[in-house]
Amino acid sequence: MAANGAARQLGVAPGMGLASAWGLAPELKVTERDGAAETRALAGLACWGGNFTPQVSLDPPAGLLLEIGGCLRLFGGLPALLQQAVDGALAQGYSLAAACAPTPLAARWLANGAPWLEPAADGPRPAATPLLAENGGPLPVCADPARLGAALAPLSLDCLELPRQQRQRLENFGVACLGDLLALPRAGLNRRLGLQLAADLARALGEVPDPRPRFPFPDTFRQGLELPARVDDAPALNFAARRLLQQLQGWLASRGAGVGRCTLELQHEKYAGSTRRGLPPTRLVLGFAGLTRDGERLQRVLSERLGRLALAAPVDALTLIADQVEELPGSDRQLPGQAPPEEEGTDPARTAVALERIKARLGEDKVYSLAAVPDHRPEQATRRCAPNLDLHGIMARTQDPGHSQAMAGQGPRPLWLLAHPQALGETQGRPRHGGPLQLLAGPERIESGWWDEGESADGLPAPGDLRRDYFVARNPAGEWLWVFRDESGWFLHGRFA
Amino acid sequence: MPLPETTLPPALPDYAELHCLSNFSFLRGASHPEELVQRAVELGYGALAVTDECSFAGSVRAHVAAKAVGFKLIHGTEIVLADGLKLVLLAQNREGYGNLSALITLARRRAEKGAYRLTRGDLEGFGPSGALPDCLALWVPSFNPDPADGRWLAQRFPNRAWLAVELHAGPDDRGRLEQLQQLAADCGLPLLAAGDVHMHSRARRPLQDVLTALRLNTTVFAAGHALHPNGERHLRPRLRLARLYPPELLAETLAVAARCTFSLDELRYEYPEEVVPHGLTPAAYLRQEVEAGLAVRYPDGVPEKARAQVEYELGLIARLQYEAYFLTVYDIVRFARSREILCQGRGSAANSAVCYALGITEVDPAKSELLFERFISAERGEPPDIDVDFEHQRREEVIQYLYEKYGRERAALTGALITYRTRGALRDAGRALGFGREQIDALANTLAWWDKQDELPDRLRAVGLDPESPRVAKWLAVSRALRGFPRHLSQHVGGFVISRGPLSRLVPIENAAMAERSVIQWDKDDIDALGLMKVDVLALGMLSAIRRALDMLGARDGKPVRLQDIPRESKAVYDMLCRGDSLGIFQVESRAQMAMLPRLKPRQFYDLVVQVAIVRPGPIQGDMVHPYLKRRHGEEKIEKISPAVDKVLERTYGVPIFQEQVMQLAVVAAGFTPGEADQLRRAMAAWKRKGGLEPFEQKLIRGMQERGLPESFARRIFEQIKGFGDYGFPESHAASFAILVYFSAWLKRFEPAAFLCGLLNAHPMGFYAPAQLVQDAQRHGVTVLPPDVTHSAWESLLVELLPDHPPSRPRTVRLGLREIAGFNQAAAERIVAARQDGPFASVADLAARAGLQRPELERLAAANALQALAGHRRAAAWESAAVENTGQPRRHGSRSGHGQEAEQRKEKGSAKALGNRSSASDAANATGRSKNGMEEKDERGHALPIQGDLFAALPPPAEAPPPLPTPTEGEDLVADYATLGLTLGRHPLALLRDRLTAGRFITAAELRAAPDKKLARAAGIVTHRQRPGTASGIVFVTMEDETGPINVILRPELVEKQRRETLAARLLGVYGQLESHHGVTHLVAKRLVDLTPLLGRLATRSRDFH
Amino acid sequence: MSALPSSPAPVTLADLLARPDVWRGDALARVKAPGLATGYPELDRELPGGGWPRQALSEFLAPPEAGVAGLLAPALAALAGPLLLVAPPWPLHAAGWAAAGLPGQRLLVVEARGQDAAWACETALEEGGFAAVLAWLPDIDARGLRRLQLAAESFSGPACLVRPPARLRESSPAPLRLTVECRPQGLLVQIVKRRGGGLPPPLTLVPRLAVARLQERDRALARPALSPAAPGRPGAPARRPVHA
Repeated sequence: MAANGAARQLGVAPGMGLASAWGLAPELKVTERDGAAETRALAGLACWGGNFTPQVSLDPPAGLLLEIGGCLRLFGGLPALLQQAVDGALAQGYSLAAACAPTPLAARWLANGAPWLEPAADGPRPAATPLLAENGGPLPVCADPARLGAALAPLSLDCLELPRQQRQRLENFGVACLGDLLALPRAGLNRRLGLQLAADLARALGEVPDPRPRFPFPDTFRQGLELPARVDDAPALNFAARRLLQQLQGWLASRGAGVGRCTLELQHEKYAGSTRRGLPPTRLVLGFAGLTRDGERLQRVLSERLGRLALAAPVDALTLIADQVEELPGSDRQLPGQAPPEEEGTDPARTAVALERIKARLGEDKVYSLAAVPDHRPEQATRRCAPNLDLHGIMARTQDPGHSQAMAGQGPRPLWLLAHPQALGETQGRPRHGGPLQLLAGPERIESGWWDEGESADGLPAPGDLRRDYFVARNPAGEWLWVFRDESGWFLHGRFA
Repeated sequence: MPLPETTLPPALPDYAELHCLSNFSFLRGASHPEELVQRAVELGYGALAVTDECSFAGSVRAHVAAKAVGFKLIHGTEIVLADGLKLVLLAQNREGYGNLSALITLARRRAEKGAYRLTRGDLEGFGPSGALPDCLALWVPSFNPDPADGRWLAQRFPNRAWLAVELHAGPDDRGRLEQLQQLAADCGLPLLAAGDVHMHSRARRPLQDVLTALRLNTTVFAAGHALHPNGERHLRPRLRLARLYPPELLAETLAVAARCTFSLDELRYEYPEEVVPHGLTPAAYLRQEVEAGLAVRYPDGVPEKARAQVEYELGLIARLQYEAYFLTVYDIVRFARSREILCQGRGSAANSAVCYALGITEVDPAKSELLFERFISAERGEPPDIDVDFEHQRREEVIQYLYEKYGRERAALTGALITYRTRGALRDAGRALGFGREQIDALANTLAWWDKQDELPDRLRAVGLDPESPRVAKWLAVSRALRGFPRHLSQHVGGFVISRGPLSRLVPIENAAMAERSVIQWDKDDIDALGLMKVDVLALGMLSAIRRALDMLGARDGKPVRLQDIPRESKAVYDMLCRGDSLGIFQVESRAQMAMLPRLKPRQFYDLVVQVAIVRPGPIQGDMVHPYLKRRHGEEKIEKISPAVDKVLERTYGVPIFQEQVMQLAVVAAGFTPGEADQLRRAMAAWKRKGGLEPFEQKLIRGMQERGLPESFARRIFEQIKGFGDYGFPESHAASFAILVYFSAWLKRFEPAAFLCGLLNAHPMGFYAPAQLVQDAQRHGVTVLPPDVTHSAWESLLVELLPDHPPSRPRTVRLGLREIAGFNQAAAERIVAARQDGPFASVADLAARAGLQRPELERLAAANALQALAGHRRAAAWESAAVENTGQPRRHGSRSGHGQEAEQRKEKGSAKALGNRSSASDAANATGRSKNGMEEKDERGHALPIQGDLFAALPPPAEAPPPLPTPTEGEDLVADYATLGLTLGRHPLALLRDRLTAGRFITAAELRAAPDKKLARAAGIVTHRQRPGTASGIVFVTMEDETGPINVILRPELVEKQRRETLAARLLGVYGQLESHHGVTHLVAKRLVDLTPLLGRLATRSRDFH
Repeated sequence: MSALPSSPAPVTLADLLARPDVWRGDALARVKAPGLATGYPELDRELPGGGWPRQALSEFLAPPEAGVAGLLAPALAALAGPLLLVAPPWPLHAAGWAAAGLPGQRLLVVEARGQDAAWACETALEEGGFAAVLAWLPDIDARGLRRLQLAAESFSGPACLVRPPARLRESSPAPLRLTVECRPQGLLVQIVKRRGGGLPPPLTLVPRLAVARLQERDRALARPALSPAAPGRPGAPARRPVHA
């Protein structure tokens, strides 16, 4: 486990067992680590990094490298640049440790040894943290390659993120800090610790080059942000949305582009009280008179919109999508060549285009595909899902014997399932629908679903425990019907054709 | 449920359910066998077959329940053959039962634990009357059945096979019935109705779904079609069955039931024959061996009392024909003796004169006050109970002996039924209901660790769950229902069942999780219920420790030392115990025991028996401790109740301490028969879980009143019985333990160095870590030397036993290489072997001659065991780290030879302290042989690893030793703790003493000398935290400094306020007040300070809440 | 979602025919791809191309209850590729479609009504990428129909439209028009317009539904309806083997 600043204060330490942690801090809030979310977050932060330099590299799992050698002048020198970068990153809402060095590895090691900076609690902007105080502020900086060795020397071995065994070995030698390590004869060290460490040291010290792959800025911009707490009041979203706008700004800068229109989606709470339905997201389309990547301008337009907006329901997440992006003339940065060649219209591609067009007009949720869900309750047995156009895969699955076998034990199921069972009249204890029904198979008893009884799903009451006897029936008109009887009577539930 | 009714219900038909799973079909059946039987009786069924899947594990419970109400039970099993054919097989008679049991054994033994495998071929090898004689077969056809299967079955089971029609309100029952009727006609099988019952009532549907989800390792949400579509798989009322099935299908079930007449009552247990030599009767042989034993025990003639006792016991044994049982135990013990495996019997029958004579126990009944007459009850008809403890490191040899002697067909371990407890039920129910791992952990852990069950709602809130939410309510409800459900079959710790004929025809045998073990499908209670015999072969760490110490003394003195040779009733031993100086001693080393010793002041053996039994939750909760102590010290008068009662309680000053006394009281004071008293004992053990003590309450109190005893006394006795609960301790066990208390105390008092070696080499065991054992030994004048490749063996040894020890260094121990974390025995033995050929010149020499790999060398270096070769540990580490690069890893030659040797020795399990050297040198001799027959030796004749030779010939690249600083004392100390878990240098607190003194913290020694009620501060490394269930939230912390242990008491309020310090501090400062009684000092904490930062990286470990 | 037609747009037949862009049924038929076998040989015989036409609109004049989907299912199941269902009258039950050979992933559903539904249908036909399009458009107007027919001409698969029977009297550019009615004996299918002219007599088809066998069984046993209270009377006891 990992722990934030407040938790560490209470004695919770990374690597600790959960039970011990709760023993120490009963109020501790624990969330499962979400690797995908971390990757998304890092990508978002990399976009933001585009504000400073096009040379952004990811240093996974949680590191970001900005090559700032080429843009010092643009930001008024190193101290100013560092201050802006750290303030900006904090404004993105992350706890962070930062450092500046002539090589990426040295910068990372220094950052590993630097104190953590915490973002200010939700407010307009964190007070600028003085980073470069005379006697060493919280941001270690070594700009001079010649002094790099000295700057690294006091770092603890922890900063090197060594494999456990190497780390242990060095400790056995009595090596406590990087300085001790550098003092050991390099050849002897190589014999004992292998070449990887030697190579790392050389890279950190700048003795060999250490090129890093650049972050591939995505071709389209779509970034989400989960809010730490639900927000009831639209203007209060400004602060969070600003983070996304800054990322957009960085992304635009990196490709020398501007945005003509973008959309901010406000996702509403999914699990509101059982009485309220889950609402589709609210879309705010922000149009700009001309192309822009000016953060302040983006922000102004957004504030205006949010100021007039009354939220239909509390919001718990935001997504920002850049809709209309074009090269912004006058750009001094290169546009990475990426436009993929036009492809011959294959079937899936044409399907996709058609669906895209339909969705664009009718709405995302009006077009869907279906998935059979193995739930005995008919209402639960179908789920809407996003279209999957990989038809080869689908056909293969359909022909899979296991698939048909799973279907084999199941009773007859209709093509259509009425949205709500329709109560039927009775004649002499026999259900009626366009005349008395002929019951051809059944009763098929379905008793299932106790597990979500009394709960709600997506804002609706869950179907809960069903207790029904189903029959295949035919009416005098020749319609094939699926009817059931429960303690309140007969119902029409489905049609077979 | 709704059902269109247009016709009148037919008359209630008779019915027997022939396909029914209990919850012993783990994670399938959702009802206890008892519930099924009871429900079948309520519904007026003619019979019920319990047919758990390839198992008879629930059969005894079902049998007991059915027998109690006179209901007809049929034994059978559901089996799915490897090709998918599903059958229900029913036993018609004893022969058929045996065949089924053997078939289940076959299917289980050839698959992994928990699985089984049976093919059609297994049903084809039988005689002319078809497969599986005296069994009936029901075919449960699949959705799309093949008539060929039915024909095959009809042929295998001529006139003994049916097609089971199981209708569960499926999509088209009518169609299914027609399909099966057609099928039956096609393959010539008659039809019958069956229920595929999974639960006794429909209401268990949620639980059944949860079990299904757990079985598939998923949640009920995701289990989908694996769940049954409805709750029809329960015992259905006959009216409903009448509407579902044609009457002749129901009638057929009774015809089948009538053909099954077997009852478990027909099982007869027979003792193995081979324990009696040919030509002798068991009685004669037992008499012969007892007489021989008496002659050894009493060389000066058998005392009158002992003689009378022996005669009485032999008479009773003869009457009940238990000779073979005693002889079986005798045989096991004799085997252990022959292998020099220390053992000791306990249990009610163990402390008999017969067992003493046979050498099963060392407790001399003539010298103790134990009353023997109830050791086996003629009335109960239950076999006697003897458990035998063996050295824990060598018990496996005994187990394998049993397997070897009786064969796996006749000997197997008793099963142990693992049932859901609250925590496991919460965990699994939570998992099945889709709760997150974190939430489940949080809830389950806090529950077990800190909280009582009625605090559950609060606990739920504390972990972020709403106790009112429906999901949480379901979680709790399902957990409650799941509690007590069997979860899987495990192995009993050591209960062996041995039979004369093939055991598998008595009860199915399956594989245990452990390789080379097989267990029967019945547990202890089942065996008791059927009156089968078992012998408990248990493991005891202290016996290993004592054995090792005795071996070492024998080697030192040149003559074997046995338990019998230890002088009894030594005053010095009792003096030491009275001081509470008991660290390391069996049973009385815990803090509570240590505190009790100076109060109880044991002066003779029987006092130790009481001491062992009295510091238990039973006597403590029954409030028996204080009266006992007061009366013992003459501070309170012993009240006279009645002569009979007084006689029972005489030896414990009128206070019932032992389970036997309670039973005896019930007999003499309340008129219970011995059998009823035994029922009382069982009820006592179970009432907290099940209740059911009330009938005894009335009977007991009425009985006492009728015999003129005051009601107040009766009530008090009853309360004490309740207090005993699960924890009543039998006197017979206490006596067996007490003798080990005495032996280990004697060793500690007179041979502390050997005792330390024994404890260290038998570790892990007992209450204390090696660090505390070593410190305690040092305080008792033992010199302890660090592990050193130039001196140490694998185990810790007296220096006298090392070839090169200085002339006279008594009470000195050289720690073994086994104390080094992560080091391995094979490497240690290679070092010892290589050393015999001459001292090591350098680390490289060591590595080459002992075939050590770099990681092994580095562990030695880190533990400072290379000091003699390489200087301080850092220099040694630097040298060791270079080793791998001087040559290729050694793949054969010395290394593999040693490895095999070590493996073989391990298999034999005789890794004895002193044997190591000789066997290791054998291994060294084997070293000279290389794989391809080439002999490669250096000038001293040592084998060299072939691959390394090329490079070994070259001088290593010249390399100046780097400037590695000598570690400071503190750094050494940290490294010692990290590698050895202890330090032989100064105690960490000695290094910190100046700073502690500045903070006015005093030492443990000063604390012991300080007056009662004094306010004091002390600091120490936390070694134990305990929160006994009996102490209402108080936490006991034991810490130690350089002068000894410090006992700290934390009241619940303080714990709540200073949770972090309580739980996390490794170096704890305590501001508190002294409480000093009878020479025992506690510091009652008022405030805690976490001083851990002072320790730096000192790697101490506290043994928390064990 | 309503299955009922809203009031038809007030356009007269004369108006329609006067428009130049209206395709007339009696105009020269272009050569089209062979039809898609319907799964009912007696029906295939009556259809130009031997099955449901491709690259053209087929119009089913039937109430939703008549079960056009069931009628089409065998043919659709034989296709590969996604099917688009526009404005279906009820929610789809995936298990039922899967049992008919159409797993849910192959089905793409558009929820829309009125103009939107027609537009979605047209867009899908224009863009292609579907094996077939099946749309319920109770209130589409003539102009919309024409646009659909034009779009369908460039669409490779069948394009089927379900409209209320009342629209029968309105003219339509669809080259194939049929009425479908549910009858106790089965589906009564009447071709009311087809290429090549001539109208065959109505056909009664037993729909290829899994449940249809239940009726056959019922008939074979010569029993009235299932009596739920007493299911499973013994069949033929004489054949029953017994153990002596």
